[in-house]
Amino acid sequence: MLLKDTITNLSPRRKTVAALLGITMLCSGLLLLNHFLFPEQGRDSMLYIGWIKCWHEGGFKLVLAKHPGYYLPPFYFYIGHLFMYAGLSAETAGLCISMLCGMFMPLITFAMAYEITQKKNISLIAALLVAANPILIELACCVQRDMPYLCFFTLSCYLFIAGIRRNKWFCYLLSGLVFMLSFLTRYEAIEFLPLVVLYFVLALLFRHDKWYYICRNFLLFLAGVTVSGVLLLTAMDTSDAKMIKLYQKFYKDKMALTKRLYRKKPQKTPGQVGKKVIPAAKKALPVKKSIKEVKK
Amino acid sequence: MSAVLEVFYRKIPSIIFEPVAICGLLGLILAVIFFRKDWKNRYYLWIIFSLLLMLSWRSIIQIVSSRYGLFLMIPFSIAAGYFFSKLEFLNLYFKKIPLKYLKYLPYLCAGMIVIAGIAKTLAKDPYQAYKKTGLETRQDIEKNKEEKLFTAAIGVCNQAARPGQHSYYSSLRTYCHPALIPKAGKINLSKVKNIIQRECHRKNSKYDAVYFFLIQERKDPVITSSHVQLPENSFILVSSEYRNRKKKNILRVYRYIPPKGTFRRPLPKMKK
Repeated sequence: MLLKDTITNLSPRRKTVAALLGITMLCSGLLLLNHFLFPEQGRDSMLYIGWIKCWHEGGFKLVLAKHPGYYLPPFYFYIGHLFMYAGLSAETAGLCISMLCGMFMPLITFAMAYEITQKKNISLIAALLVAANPILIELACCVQRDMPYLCFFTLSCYLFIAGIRRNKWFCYLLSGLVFMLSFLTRYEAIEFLPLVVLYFVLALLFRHDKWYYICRNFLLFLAGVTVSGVLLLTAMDTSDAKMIKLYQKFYKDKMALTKRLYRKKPQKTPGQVGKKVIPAAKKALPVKKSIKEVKK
Repeated sequence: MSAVLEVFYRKIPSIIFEPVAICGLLGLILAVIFFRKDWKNRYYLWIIFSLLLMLSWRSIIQIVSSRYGLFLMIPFSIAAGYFFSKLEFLNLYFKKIPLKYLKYLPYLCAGMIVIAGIAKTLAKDPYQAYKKTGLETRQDIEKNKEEKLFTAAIGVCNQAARPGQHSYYSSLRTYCHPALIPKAGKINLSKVKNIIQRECHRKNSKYDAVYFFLIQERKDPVITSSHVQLPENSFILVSSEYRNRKKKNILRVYRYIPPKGTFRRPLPKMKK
């Protein structure tokens, strides 16, 4: 009875806060439960743990020196290394980052959904669905870059949408700042840039606002990206030239992989690949080797 | 083309979580129907275009792992929420259902998906083969080092992608030997002796113990010293664990310690 009275007497705003708190607690509980039930880390996690350790020992230069094939964006490993200063092991540091980001995901989803729909019930349901998503829970309990990437990317989108909705200049600036964090966690975040450009072009074409405000907002977004990028690259003791080289490596790998996936499979006739006929023994080895390389 | 279809029908729904993906899709269709005339809020156009761009980008380029489609979880969850909120409109078609019950229908549906999500989270494979065997191997190494049975050991596994996991959990430097990778489900046991010879019985050998992390089929017998033609009790099973719930494959850890006085000397020939 007391609980029922308390709930009915709550103001709608407090009810929403209580519901959000409950959803976050549900998400955190599920994360902890999953971590204690299934503590084994995957093979990618082993690689990342190794890199975080390596960074802590000798910085980004040592990572590049020890792993010549390295091409990933360095922000996740950098935060992991910072967490290690608190006395955590590399695995725990990586887990802490992923779990913290996972715990904030329902809140960010709520904010984004509310900004789009302006309805609390839709936003709460969306937050609840994200909180109990099995994939999200699984990835938040791994030493992987996915959860920080998702967290920063969603936050960047939310700030951008808030900028459009509320017409506030600082939202664009913050969106740019956070976008760079997501890009330095996973290169896939780059897909946000064409969308941003497209929005500003559409806004100019449809005269969503005065042209100088649209230009100002675009410049603010770019300023956020630049400032965040320069500060982070300096803090991580790396340069933009190195980052460009890393991105080129990543891009080359992806393109090679895409080409392989869309290439026609060789015919099953023994000794025949496409038009050329080559001995079976010569043919088999390079094909197998290249598949392994791609998988790595 | 088949790769693109696989992304659409298998990888993307699996990363979004299938019930959310279906409800989200229905929600998007509903949103298009309801907002088709309301283009005052032009950023709906932008949101739909962004979704299409994300889907096409991931279908064409980023199709290696379903994890790359992770961000789609957010718009689909919002669309699913929208779909549930519109369930109240069922009252127009099914007038027998009282409105006061329909009010709770969105939360009921969301609750059901949440229960399904929790069930899926907790119903994962309970077998933690790499961790369990790794920790047992670590204990075995510590125990044997205390008893001074060996001083340095190395690990060899038969999975190209897993030396990192074995190495991390057992704290043993581990590499994959291609000759041990099973062909047609069988491991070439004759190569085991060659590896041992190379690691322990050369003049400049660093290691006086070898741990083998071998994935075998369940029906395969435990490898003994006689199977690999080694002196008796030198090659023993240390740990074993099924890899997953199907119990088709088993990860077994074997240990080889050279008999006394044979370290850095060629292996004695055994009778077949």
